[in-house]
Amino acid sequence: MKPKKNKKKLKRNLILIGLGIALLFLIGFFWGVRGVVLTFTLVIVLFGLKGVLFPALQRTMMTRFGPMIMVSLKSFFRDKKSVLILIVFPLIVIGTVFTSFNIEGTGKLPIGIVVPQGDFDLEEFRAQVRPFFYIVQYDDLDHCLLDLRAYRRYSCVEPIVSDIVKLNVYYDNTRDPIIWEVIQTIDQIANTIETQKSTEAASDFIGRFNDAMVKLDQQDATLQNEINNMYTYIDDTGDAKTDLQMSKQELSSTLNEMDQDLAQVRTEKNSVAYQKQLFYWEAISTLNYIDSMLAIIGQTTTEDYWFGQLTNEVDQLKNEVESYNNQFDTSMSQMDTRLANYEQRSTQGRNYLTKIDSGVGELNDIEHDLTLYQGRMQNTRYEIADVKNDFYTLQGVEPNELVSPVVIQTHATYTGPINKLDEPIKPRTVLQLKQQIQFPVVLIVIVILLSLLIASFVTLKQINTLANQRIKLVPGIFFQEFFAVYISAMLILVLPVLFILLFGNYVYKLPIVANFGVIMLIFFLVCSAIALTGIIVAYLVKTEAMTLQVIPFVLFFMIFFSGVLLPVERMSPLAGFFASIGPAKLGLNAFNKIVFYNLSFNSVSGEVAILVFLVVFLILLAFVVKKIRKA
Amino acid sequence: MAKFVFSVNKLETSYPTASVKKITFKLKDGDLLGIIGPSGSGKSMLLETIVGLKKQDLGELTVTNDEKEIVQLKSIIGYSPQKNALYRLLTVRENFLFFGRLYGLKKKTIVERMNTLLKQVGLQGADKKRIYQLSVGMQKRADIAITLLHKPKIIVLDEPFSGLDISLCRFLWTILKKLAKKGHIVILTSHRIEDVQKYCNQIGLVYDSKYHPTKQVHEAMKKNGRRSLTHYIEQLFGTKI
Repeated sequence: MKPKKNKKKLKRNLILIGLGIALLFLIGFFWGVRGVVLTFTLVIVLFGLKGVLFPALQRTMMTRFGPMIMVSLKSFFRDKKSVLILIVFPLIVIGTVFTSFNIEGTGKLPIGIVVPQGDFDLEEFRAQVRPFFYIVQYDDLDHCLLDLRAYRRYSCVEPIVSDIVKLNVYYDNTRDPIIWEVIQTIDQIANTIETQKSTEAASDFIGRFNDAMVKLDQQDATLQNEINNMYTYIDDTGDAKTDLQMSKQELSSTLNEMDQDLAQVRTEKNSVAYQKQLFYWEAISTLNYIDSMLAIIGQTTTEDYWFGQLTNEVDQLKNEVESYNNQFDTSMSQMDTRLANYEQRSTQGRNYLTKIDSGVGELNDIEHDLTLYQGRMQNTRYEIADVKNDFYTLQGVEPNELVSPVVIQTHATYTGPINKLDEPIKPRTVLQLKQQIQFPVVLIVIVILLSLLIASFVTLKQINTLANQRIKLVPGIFFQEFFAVYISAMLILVLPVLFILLFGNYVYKLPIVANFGVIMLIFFLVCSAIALTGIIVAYLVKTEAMTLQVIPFVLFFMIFFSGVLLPVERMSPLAGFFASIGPAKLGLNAFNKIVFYNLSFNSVSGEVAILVFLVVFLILLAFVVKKIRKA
Repeated sequence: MAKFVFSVNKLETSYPTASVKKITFKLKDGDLLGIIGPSGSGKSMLLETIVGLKKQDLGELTVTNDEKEIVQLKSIIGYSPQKNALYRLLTVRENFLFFGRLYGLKKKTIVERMNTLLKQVGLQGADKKRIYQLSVGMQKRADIAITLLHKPKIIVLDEPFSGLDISLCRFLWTILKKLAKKGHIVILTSHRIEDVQKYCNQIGLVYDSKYHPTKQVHEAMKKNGRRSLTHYIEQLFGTKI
């Protein structure tokens, strides 16, 4: 049997060596020579240890560690309190914390939107925002900001529409850190809208741009045609002007000639009229003379017949001369009329000449203007050519590269010390603002810590004091004992809380003293609620050592549900609800409203009412626990 | 005829660690009951039940004054637990004032009674000292003095002699005897069996989860031919006390 065993062992060792060599090759392939050397060294060391250390370890494990570990484990698991504190509580904490996260991110937070004036697609904005926020519409910004300061809204969005859409986002910077998530979400929404809008706008722009290019080409061609036409018009105008000038010259010479002829005719007519008048007077005179001669002859002649015949003849002749004279005068008169007509026409012709002159002048002007227009049109063409060149460059631009049409401007609603200064903002002022905003968080954490520890400490002192046995024998001491503990804890708390508050007033410059009454009321209630929790824990646990172990869990719960570690808004709906009615969160909200926005008591009456209810509830609960636990 | 009668009838009380059954006894003015028994037998638990710090499982406790039952037992009981029930950081006077106030006494009355009681227990002039500044014996005497502050009819003392030397023990016994003589009912537990046998007119033995009253103890002693209670108990417990 033994040789067979050795053979098997040899075979196994050979396989192992083979595998080892293969492994070394692989290591060498991936990690190089260093890897091989390192692995080889490790193997040697381990083999060396195998012979020395492992048996020692095994021995020790078996003889000492094992029983010790077993005893420790048994002691631990048989102690119900230890299991409760170190296993059950952590599991509860882990379970609570991780189920408190809202896997869908922040719940729908209420934000306000001011109804915009102008061309703004509110519905589209609402559609984008709706998955993240609960939207409340406002007619004006002031009302929205009023609700913002009263912690009813997280942000107010005011769209201003001009060439671009400007989103004025007012946010409550005292709600650190959740507000940054709100701003980020709004920014992302705006970016999405912006991308969509800019892509649309750019596509539209490029479409219009291309249309414009086509239209420019068409306009250019039309312009060219018009310029060509203009040349024709200018030429035609020049020709018309030349024709007009020539016609004017011809008309002018014709009119001159006609005037000369008319003057000559008039002269000749006057000469003829004069000669006629002369002939007429000579004929009439001659005839009158003949007539007078005849009268003389008639006196002497007997030839009456002949005489009568002659006299008749003379009278007839006189009549004829008169008739001819009259006819001549009539003809002359008609000639005068006609001459006058001709002269009038000539005058009209002259007027036409003047008009032709002015027409030519106008044509000159038109021709000049046309030439100017032509020049300008030509310049326009050159400009169109330049624009087209620019457009050709722009055609290569991608839509997304175009300027964004939506611009976000954020405005913090609490500016603290900044707005009180006329000077430029100093780094120190900004730091002070940040410290002011952080102060309530620090304050509330300290208040939670102190209230819990002091209250539980005072209660435990009271429970565990030997004198308590004697106190319990006093009839009707139950309520007095409880209130004595509660009031003692509260009185001890006054000094540190007051100190922190005054620190906040004088160092952080928060208006705490100015609102001392309300703030003290708030902190009295907050401290009471937390202190009562501490008292209840002390009543439940009773021993100081156990309380010391339990308090960190309670403290963690308190701080966790105050929204300092994980914003309440990011918690699941149920956890968020409990956190929102927790004393720390309520106190924080109320304190912030008072110190940051200087709001009246009315604005925190809701928080105060819930805190009062909580305190009353916790007092009753403390009675029950005290009674049951006989603390 | 006695005015005050404190009756315990078929009382049963228990803790997870111990239980005592069949507790029946009757005490009248001037009685001094010494309860003895081994450690862990339930003596302190019995006293806590008697004073009302612990609720009994069964049975009843009654106190009558001229056969008239007193319902509010706590007001007529003065209790001094095994460890001093005092505020260590307060002075003797402050402790007196505090507990006196709890019982509704006026400051003047408290101070008067304090002076008398401190004189009685031999602590005159120690009123301005803080408790932790006093010796164990002084602390115990201060504690007993405060127990008596509201003039309780029934005085219950749990191991009042632990940590005290012989002379102090004697001094304390003297005080207790005086109190009994004055008409108080004194109930105490102790491991000093001989002292108990010497000073107490009533003895109760807590043993094997049962309460054995005086009569039974004496009968058993007689039966076993033992004169000394210590011997009897040593035989009973099987160990030397």
